[in-house]
This record gives sequence, C-alpha cells and structure tokens, in this order.
Amino acid sequence: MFLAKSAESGAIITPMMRLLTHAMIKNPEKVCFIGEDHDETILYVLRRSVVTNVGWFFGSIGLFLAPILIDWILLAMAIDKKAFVPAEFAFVLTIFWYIFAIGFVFERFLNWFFNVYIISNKRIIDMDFHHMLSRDISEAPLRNVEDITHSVKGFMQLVFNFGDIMIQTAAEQREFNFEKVPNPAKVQDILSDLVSEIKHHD
Amino acid sequence: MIENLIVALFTTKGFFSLLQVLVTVIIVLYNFYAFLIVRQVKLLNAGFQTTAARMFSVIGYIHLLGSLTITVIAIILLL
Repeated sequence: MFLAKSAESGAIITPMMRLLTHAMIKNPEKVCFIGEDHDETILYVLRRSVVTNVGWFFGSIGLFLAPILIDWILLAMAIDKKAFVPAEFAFVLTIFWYIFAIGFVFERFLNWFFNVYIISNKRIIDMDFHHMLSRDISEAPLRNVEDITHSVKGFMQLVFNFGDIMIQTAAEQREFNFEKVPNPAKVQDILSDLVSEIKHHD
Repeated sequence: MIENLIVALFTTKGFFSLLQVLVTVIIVLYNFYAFLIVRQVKLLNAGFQTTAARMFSVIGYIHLLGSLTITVIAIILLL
C-alpha cells in the first residue's frame, strides 16, 4: 500500500509525500522516534499547520526573485550594470545568493518538519527544534495526562482551523503545549479518548 | 599610505575591491553554517526517523558542496 488516493483531491499521494506535506498524519508508516519501545505504536504525528509556513514561503520566493528583479529594474532604468559592477563579482554574488536562498528554505522546512508532537499508544512526545543549535524533547505517559484544553485565537486560526492544545500532566514536565496544530478540537477529542481508555484499563 | 588607501576606497574600483573581500569573507563563514546544517540534519534524523531522512542528508551535503564550491570560485575570481 505505497500509493493511496487522497479523499479530498483524488490525487495519488505516497506515504513519503504525506509525511512531507501534511501537518496531521494518522498511523504514519516507517516512522519512529528516539526511545521508542518495541511494543509502542505511533498513532498520530502532528506539526504546526501548513498555513504557518506561508510567511517564510513567500519570503523565499522573494529571495529567489530578487536578483532577477534587480536586473529588471536596472534594465528599466537604462543602467548598465557591467559598467560599475565587475562581472566576476556579480557572478559570484548571484551564485552565492541562490545557495543562501536554498539554505534558508531548507532550514525553514527542517524547522517545520522536525517540530513534531507525537501521540503514541503509551505517551505524548513534544519535540521542539527552535533553531540550528537548540532542541528540546519532552514526554509524558498518557496515564499522567490530567487536563486537555484547546484554543483557537485570531482570524487566521479561525479561518484555517488550527490552534493550540494545552495538556496538563502529573509527569515531570507539567505542561505540554501543542502549538498551531490543525483541527485542535479533533486532536483534543482523540487525546481525551486515548487517556480515558488507558485510565480505564489501569 | 593609509590616507591613499582611504581615498582609494571612495573610488568605484576601490569600493568594489573592499566589497569583494567582504563578500569572500561572508562566503567562507557561510561554510560553517552549511556544515552546521549537515550536523543538525544528522541529529534530527536520529531523533525522529522517517523515510525522508536520506533525502534530507543528501540535500544538506549538496548545500555544503555548493557552499564549498562557491568559496573556491570566490577565492579564485575575487582575491
């Protein structure tokens, strides 16, 4: 089952594409995390909503288009760039600019991709990757979850249906905050059901 | 001599010479950032393993290779 038909669009998507483009993945295939137990199953992988990437996405389009725009503006103003900028310098600067742009896009994407909230059949895990030099991983068993609330604030969150989920626990890490996840009401419901089930079995 | 150097900086040629040196230094420093990305990808892939791990590693190395290549080109052409 490597190919699956997306219910919404009818397009054929692979598990890899789903992993790379979705912010809420149910039963992800071939995914595991550090410290995962043998009898543990990942039920959901959550990330910040795809909509939250719009800012850097348009920023990177601007980065890629900037050299072309500058050339176009100079041409429109009838300014001969070659007259005052050495050709070698312009060449090196342009290539470096594009490498920098690729680096920027890659870093931003990694930042989104690896900032994950994992719900397994045993616990919740919050993996925070703030920037290139900082990473936090915290976890709490589902049986220690005491209170789950969600909030949807502001125009964007209301329109695109994403928001925060606050989870109070009795574990070492007292509070978990799943930030800007899609469909927070549904996630809250899923978590509540899981916690009830676990506590019922105990 | 220093006066002549300062005066030279206010000419187009002098200004671009200084700019070329500055850009080369920035490109050299950028290699550290590119290397840091490679290291970070390795750590992140270890923490959260997915089928995309190899692809991220390859992109990281291509980015580092591109950065090193432009450094060599910058040193040859600009200095």
